[in-house]
Amino acid sequence: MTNRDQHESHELRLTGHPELSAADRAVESALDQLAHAERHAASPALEARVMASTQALLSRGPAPVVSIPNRSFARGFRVAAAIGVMACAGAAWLAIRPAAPAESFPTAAVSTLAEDIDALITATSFADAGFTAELDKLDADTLNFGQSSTGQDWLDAIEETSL
Amino acid sequence: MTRLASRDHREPDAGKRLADLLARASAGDNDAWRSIIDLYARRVFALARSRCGDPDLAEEITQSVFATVAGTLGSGGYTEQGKFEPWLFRITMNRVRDEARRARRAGLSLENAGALPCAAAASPGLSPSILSRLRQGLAELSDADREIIELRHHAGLSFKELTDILNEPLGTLLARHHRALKKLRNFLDAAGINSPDHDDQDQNDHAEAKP
Repeated sequence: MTNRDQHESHELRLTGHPELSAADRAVESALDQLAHAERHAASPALEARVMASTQALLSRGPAPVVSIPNRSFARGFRVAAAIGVMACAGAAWLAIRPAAPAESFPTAAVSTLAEDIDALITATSFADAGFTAELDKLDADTLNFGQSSTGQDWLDAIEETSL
Repeated sequence: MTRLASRDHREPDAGKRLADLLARASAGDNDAWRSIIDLYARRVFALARSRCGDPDLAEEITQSVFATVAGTLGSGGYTEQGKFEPWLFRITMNRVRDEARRARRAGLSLENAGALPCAAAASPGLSPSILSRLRQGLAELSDADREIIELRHHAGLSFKELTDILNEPLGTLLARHHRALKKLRNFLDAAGINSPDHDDQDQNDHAEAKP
């Protein structure tokens, strides 16, 4: 409370309500006397009983310190929980999402696709031509090897090896 | 000691002395805690008794309020900012409201102030019949009007402290207090009791400071 507040408070205590008539001030005074009577209606041992019932509470000392969980553990737990929530949400979304609508290709897309297929066929044709030539060459080599292996020299070589 | 707690005669350094008491009590000083109880126990009791009527219940409420305060002080949970009294009486009002709710659930009523015996609560200036009428008049007030009267007179709070408890502007509280006083005056007039003697006003104003 500042000095100004204290001064104002003290001023109010001294002056009371500034606009009261004499009759109202008399009622106010009667209320003060009623309050006085109420205070003295208490048992003379009121203060002693209050003291006896509260003294232990006052000397109990500060409240026990509440342990605070490890911050890094808490942070890791929060991250794991967030990931788990996101995973659950994703799985739920995949489970309940509506079937994808049938795709319809626009005309321009269809024409582009046809051109791609033609290009692929052309490339395959070039590849086939090269492959055919290779096959022909391999076939000729095989024939020559067969003819050469039917000679006596070949049989002699086999016999020497077996011995 | 009584002068420190009095609404109209508080000393300028009362706040500093109270802060010192609170600091010592928080550190476990039983003498300081006893001084705080001496200062405020009867004001808390008067507020509770005015609202609930039953002196035994008012004493239970008083003990409960101070148990809360002691627990908070002892645990270091209170920071002195010059608002101990608003805090203390806010706790009291909350306890009173709790008891009122409990009584309503049990089918009882705490609004029986008019039937209170007041022989043991002698007042230095007014007759017991006028005090009884005043209690009846309080019971006739709306809850908001009664609250401000009881906090002002029974708890002994200044209007500035009332603004802290009730969270309303000072002008609004002054107007409500004025209106409540008028209603009480009209009630006393209708009951055939003239307003208390104006000539004794100065004496009555200082009645709180008397032991």
